[in-house]
Amino acid sequence: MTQAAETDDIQEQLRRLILEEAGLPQETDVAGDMRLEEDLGLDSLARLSLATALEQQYEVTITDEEFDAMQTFAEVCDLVRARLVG
Amino acid sequence: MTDPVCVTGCGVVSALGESVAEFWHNMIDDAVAAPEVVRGFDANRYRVGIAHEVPGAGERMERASSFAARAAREAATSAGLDPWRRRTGLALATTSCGWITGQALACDYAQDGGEAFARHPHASGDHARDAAAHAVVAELGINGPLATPSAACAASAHAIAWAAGQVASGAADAMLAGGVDVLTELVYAGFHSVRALAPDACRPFSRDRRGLVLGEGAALLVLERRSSAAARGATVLAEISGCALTTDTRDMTNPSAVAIERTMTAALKDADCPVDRLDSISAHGTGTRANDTAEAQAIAELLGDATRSTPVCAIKSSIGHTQGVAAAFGCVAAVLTLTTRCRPPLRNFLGPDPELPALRFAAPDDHPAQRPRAILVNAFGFGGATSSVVISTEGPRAVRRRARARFPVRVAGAAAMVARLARERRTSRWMPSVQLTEEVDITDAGSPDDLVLQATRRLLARHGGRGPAASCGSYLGTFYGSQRIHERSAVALSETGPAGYKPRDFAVSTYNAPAGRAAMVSGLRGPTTAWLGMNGGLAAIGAAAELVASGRCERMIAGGYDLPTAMLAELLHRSLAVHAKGAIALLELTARDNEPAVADIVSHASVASSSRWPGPHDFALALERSEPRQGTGQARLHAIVIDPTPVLRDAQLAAIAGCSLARGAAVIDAALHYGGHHLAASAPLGALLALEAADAGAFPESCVIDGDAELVPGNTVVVLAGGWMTGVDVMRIGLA
Repeated sequence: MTQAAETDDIQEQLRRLILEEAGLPQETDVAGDMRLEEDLGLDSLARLSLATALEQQYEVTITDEEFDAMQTFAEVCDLVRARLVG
Repeated sequence: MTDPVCVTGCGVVSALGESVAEFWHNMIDDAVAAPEVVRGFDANRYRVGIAHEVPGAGERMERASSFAARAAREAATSAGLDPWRRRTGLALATTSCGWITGQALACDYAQDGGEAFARHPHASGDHARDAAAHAVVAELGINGPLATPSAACAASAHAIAWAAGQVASGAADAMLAGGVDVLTELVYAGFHSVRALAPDACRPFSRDRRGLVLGEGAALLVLERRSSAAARGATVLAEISGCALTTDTRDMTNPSAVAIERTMTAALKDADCPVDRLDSISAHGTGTRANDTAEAQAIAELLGDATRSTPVCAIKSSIGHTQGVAAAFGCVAAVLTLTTRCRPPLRNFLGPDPELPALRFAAPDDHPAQRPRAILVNAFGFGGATSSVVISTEGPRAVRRRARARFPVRVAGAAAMVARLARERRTSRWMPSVQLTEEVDITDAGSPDDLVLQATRRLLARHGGRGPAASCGSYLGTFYGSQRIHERSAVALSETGPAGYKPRDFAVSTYNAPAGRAAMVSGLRGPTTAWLGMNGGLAAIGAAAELVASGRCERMIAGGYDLPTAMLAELLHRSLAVHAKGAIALLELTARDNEPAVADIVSHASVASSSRWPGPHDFALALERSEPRQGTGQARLHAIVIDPTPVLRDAQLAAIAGCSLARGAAVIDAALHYGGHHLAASAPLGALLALEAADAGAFPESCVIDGDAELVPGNTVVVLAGGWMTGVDVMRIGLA
């Protein structure tokens, strides 16, 4: 698999994960600049659940600062990609 | 004449010191201890690894018992009280006690099934949760009422409020009231999962605050009526002059400013204390962004013009968040502020948070210029538990006369759900739209939350679209509560580490969560809490009836539930020959005389037992003490519904045989009718069976052990319940 394809794959996984936490239908379109709370309706527990799910699925640790900074779909994708590359 | 409830002694075991003197010296002195690396378990795998632990090693399971017994001993000694000489009771709140052994057991059980029990010979399902209360009972010779309320981090406010009620009503001469909690990995992992743990220090109301630091300990107060304290020459330290216990129906984990302000206002009204009498406010002040923001707004709203002149204290900046003991520690600190004229200073403050209203915080050496008069103590917990207690100096001031408690309390409705009940459905005359006992399969119900929610909705359905008064609360007894979540989380932690702990699970893991969530959905803003133990269902109904009788609540929902897990069912079967099944039974209690009632709660009594399993003497004593204090004198008892636990059978039959009022009474085992032991729901189900029997004219023959099954309106039925280390509860019901 090319690196680009792998990246798309992760983005798709993250999109599904976020929709699941938000309780939205899996076919919903999610744009990069959409905000987790305001646009996708994740409440504080759902955001926490998302972070835990990311940690578990990708075997990474998300610090409290990174968690606070993780506000949009694109920011979630960037964080996970950076961790997997690094 | 008013006879206020007073504080005559205090005792603590804390990270700051293991006596009141040491605790207070270190609290006021600047040489305050910083949190340290967690010693109780390996915290390396967490992002944060600090806590305020009580120094000293020791088997962790026994620490809770040791903390509680030492704090209780100090409290009694400082009050000059010999508990066994008087009728002295105990209200010991806890949230997490016991999940030290429970964690290992759950993991071993997941791997090896029942084989695991051999490695945990002391496991009994309560995981030594109630052992701390029993340790105090045994250590001090407690012989009065006993309860273990659990309302997350507001738990000990419920203990203090209930204990004050016991003292005020004369059910006890003195009460030891407070709580105990120890640091457990499961609770630590839970707070870690919701990112509420601060990396360095607890900084309440400060800019750049990063969360709470967990603590542990025990704090107890001795409560007495002023008249009985005076009679034995005891020094009165302060008065418990008011309290308010409410449920924040907005969110399970984040408190709202509106609910906090409403609760503080209600407590001040209860205490008849204007805002300008307040010396200071002892805030919940956890150091989390959400709590401190809501609380600061509420405090500024309450104080108004006095905001800049009334100091706010937050002792969690010194001792950490002691979980269910937080309110008791706050009350002890308030008593000490009143008696020593020193306020605990706010620690670790980096500067004001621009997003919060400007409050005045207690600074070192900023001590009251005049004799302080009253302090408001806040404590909030998951499940919407919101509480405020007012502690004040005693004084000959005009106190509003409280109405005397008015028993009997009316039962306006009932609802129950029993797992796989194979019998004919019935509809009762008093609730044409609701079946009293419904045949539903709840063995696969997802959670106790769902069970409690369904039953609460059924009970409230009779009100149609109009909900009951917002001041209605819900007191539910439970033996196991939501501990299935702890079981699941323990396994997840061991298999996948901290990331395996689900934040959503933690939010509903506390014992009070099912009642809190049901209250939230139904818009009930009265008190909600859990009463722990096999006899918790009857303890809950008794406590709720006392609230209604004293006029503090117009209406209460009360009863018991349990939904055993496979592990618990197997454990109870092996150790007690009990076939545990899931059930819930609820009563609706009301103060209103103009509502049709199906029965009256005539009286309730609770008695601590000096032995782990209550004996004949304990049941006999409880039967005697359930004699109504005001009323028609000695009433004959027509039927007695016994606790179905096999190990308690002989003790109960012996107590009944020795009770002259019970001569000729029918002896009923409701478990024979409902097909199993329903743990904390057993006794409430027994009460419901009596209501059905009154309707039918007789108990079903299958459940009559002795005597005549017939029952007529006006008869008195007694329900008995006992628990492992939790004493005995007895309730008298007058049938309509």
